[in-house]
Amino acid sequence: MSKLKPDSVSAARYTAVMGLLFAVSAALNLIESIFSAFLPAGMRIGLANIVIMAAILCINLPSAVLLVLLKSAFVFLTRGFTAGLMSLCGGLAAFAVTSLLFRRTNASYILISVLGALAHTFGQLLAARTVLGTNSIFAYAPILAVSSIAAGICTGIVLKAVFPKLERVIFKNKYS
Amino acid sequence: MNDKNRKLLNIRDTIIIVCIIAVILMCFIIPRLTESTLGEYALITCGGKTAAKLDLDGEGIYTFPEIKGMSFIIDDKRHISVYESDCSDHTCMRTFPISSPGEVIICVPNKVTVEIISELPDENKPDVILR
Amino acid sequence: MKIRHLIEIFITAAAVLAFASCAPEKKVSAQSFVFDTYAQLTVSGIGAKEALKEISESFEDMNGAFELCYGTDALSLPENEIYKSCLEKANALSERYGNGVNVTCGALTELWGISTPEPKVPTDEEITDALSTVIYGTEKFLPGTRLDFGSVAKGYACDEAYSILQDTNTDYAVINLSSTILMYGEKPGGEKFRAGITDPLTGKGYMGIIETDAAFISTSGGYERYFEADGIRYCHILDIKTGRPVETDLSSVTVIVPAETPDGGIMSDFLSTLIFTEGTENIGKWLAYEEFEVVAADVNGKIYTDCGGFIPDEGSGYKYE
Repeated sequence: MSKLKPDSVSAARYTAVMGLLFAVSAALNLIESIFSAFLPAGMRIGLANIVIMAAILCINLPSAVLLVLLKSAFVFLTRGFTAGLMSLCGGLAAFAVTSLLFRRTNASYILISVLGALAHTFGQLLAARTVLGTNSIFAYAPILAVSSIAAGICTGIVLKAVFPKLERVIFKNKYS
Repeated sequence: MNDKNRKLLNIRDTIIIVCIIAVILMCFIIPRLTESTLGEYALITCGGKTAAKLDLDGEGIYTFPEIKGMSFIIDDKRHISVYESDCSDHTCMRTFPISSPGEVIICVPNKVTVEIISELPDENKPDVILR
Repeated sequence: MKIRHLIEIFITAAAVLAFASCAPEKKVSAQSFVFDTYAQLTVSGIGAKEALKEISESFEDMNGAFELCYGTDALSLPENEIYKSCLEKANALSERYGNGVNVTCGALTELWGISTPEPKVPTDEEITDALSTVIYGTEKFLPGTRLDFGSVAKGYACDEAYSILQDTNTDYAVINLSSTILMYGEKPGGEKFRAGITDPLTGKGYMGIIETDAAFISTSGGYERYFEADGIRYCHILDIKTGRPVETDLSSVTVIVPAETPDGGIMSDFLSTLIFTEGTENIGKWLAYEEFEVVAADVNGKIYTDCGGFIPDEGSGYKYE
């Protein structure tokens, strides 16, 4: 599978694709806020990870990191420092886990998504714990974990379904 | 790894996920079973330091000088919740009132936690008690 | 990938070492029922286990010896180092501080039977008879004289524990005999020991906490052992002069003796009882002594103390001056 490299494809195409992925992540963020109403500090369950995973699969790792940073910046600008920090920690954790699993193992899509969502949640918990100063937030860990697993399963299914088509869209000129 | 051959889900991975869920459920259930359900006090911390201990029998609205911009309310059924908060997302205000030991309400922007405990913490427990 | 393997091994080894070095000090505990009370022994350090074993055994021996005294005339008791040395030390303390505490009052305590299932209020005649068997100083035992080491036994035991701890490699220990304790050595981090004094008016909670370096601490009060008859409460501490439970306006006396003081244990035990019997009118004299510190409370909730490490408990309602 060929990877989309920023230098081998036009800057315009790259920008367009990244912009698209970024927009999707922002939209997913909005959808996630429905669930986060019940969770402390607006923790997210990891739906937006799908964008990161797509980037890892279809583009390259640095671009995926870039998306994490963009996503966190967006959250920071719209919801504040705490939320931005949590998004960053969660996103980087999810990236680390997901990229490792995709590159080094043959784990199934669902497993990778679930573990990525769990990593995302755990990263957020750590960020929240640091800001709060006490350990009490870990009381929410079980329920967050369960909802992350559910989100991960959904994300995994969607990713598997979307991935081939996504590749075709990105490489439109090559595969049509 | 060849992504084209990657499966959506296989048996090994299903087992792994089921195990994870089982572990999480155990972490969830065991504390519930071993704890008494009567909460006596609400421990409010701000920035990691204890700011107040409220007796759940005391109905009313509470504010504290160290916790600017937030107030708490205890109802007549020994539940406590956040009455007002100046934080940006108000998640803390939307959380349901709590009353059992271990339950917490958290306001991350204000760095405030409200936790139900069954007895006062023993910060200063002596090594020995003379009778 | 050899380098990678080396790095992994190194990291694992470092982690294991770091983990091992955080391992807590060896701390051992034991509980038993000796000297008519619940004893809790905690010892920490490399030699902790042996020290604990030796102390427990020593306590068993002493307990056996002291128990034998009950119901047996002193003259019929077998020769025993424990009686001899304990009696000597008690006499030395009486000479120095006063004879309000006496270990030859066994006949009297048995007469009242306060710590037994059948306490009773004896007649005046019985009391006079019992009092006549009490001896002072180095007088010889009379027929009928009985030994009761109850007011000094725990302190004496703590002194034994102290010398055992000195001989073994121990960092710190807490020997808790309820009303007499030894806090020995140094806690990790140099923290001071903290001992709470039970609130005598309610019997629960604390009236205050003493923060101190290694020390013997002993408490006496009428609130733990007593019996009631016809609406009157008779506490277990007897006044040797009258033969009846002591009448004092103090509710609790605690004496703190630095651990290095020779025989500091029996001293603290002896003094806490003695000071208790003498009431508030003599408290000034006791506060003046430098070799020990006192924390006393009277029945009105007033605290008398010369103890720098004493922290009264704010919620307890005691007036601290």
